[in-house]
Amino acid sequence: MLAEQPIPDERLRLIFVCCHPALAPEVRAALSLKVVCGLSTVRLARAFLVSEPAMLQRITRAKAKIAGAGVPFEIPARAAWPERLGAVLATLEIAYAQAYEDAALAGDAADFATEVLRLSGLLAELVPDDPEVLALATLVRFAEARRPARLDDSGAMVPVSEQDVRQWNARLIAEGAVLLDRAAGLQRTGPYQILAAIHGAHLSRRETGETPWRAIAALYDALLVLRPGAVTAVNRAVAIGASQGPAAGLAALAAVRTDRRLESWLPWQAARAWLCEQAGEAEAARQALDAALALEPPPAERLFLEAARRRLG
Amino acid sequence: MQYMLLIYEPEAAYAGAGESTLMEIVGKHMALSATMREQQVLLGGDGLQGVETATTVVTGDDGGQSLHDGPFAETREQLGGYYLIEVADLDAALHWARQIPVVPGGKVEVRPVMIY
Repeated sequence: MLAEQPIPDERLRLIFVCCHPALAPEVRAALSLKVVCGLSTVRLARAFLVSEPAMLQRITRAKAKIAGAGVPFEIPARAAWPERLGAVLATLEIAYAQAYEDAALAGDAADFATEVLRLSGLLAELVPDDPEVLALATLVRFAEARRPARLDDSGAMVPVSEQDVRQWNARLIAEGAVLLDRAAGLQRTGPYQILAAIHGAHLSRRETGETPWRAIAALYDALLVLRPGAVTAVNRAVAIGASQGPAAGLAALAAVRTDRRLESWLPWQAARAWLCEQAGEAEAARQALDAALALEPPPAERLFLEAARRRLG
Repeated sequence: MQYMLLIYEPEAAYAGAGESTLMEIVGKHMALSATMREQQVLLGGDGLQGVETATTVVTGDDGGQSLHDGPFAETREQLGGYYLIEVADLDAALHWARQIPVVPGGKVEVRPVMIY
């Protein structure tokens, strides 16, 4: 019987252990990524949008609690899974984000992509009645499906709405679609389902020839309610810019609130550059691009931003 | 490992409770401690009298001591009792902590005991 099966995978099992509810919610996923995937504190700090000392302190405190309080490093019983699932999903999401960021899969997170595809699929088999589990497996498949089209011949990033749809992986898209259908059938919506739907909307250009920006902006509205955050707000501003015009996009971008300095945050500057360029504000676009380039973007994004910079003279 | 299971409850909930309710809660504690004894995890435990009986010895920054009538902190929930158990790990301790009868709003803090 499925309910009696242990977790049939060493990595997934370790993630469940690190996601023990006796640890602070904000550290569970970070600890899993540190212990299971070997991510450095620097990368964890960047992934969780906190300072490096703050992340180091969280990890140190969690490790001290595990040792001091006698948190068992054992496979949790099936009954203990639900309260750990949220952190397990966050772990897989962030591990995948590390691989996604590295579009050419040249860095040390290269094997995360295959690994998260595998683990998210396995989790969907183990917990088939949780729509968010199914949606995360979808999300990873939809994102990974686009990998062959994400870089041009020069190695520069190609935005999703400009990618050659013929290069997208049809098998992964089909797999993801089946999972997302099953999630929808369970009729309990959640942030991963909305994220997966956003990816799905981009992929629909394969059939329609057009990116449904208005629908995507509406999905980001919903996501911002379920999972407020600066990343969601910036992506929403871009979608609004694409569907309602750059002025509306810039207004949405101006409303983004975060406790970090927006001027030194790459996604914000990149979004601003694009919206300003669309609005015909060449000087503001140049400034944003220069600021973005100064923030050490990953290689593919650097080439993309440099090309935009050349275009603007 | 040894763990203290510290029971915090709003005292007001007991103040209004009738005798039968109190006896029911005491009965649950008796049953739980009997099970703990059976499983050989129980090292000790008791209920405490109300905070109106508490006296706190306060040591000041200068090392001088004074007495305070009442508990150390005037919080809504007060320490009302404890169990001292010896079990393999935190999950086992939490397994027992979850079974401690508390009134709504009650909390059980699980603290590993230092062993010298």
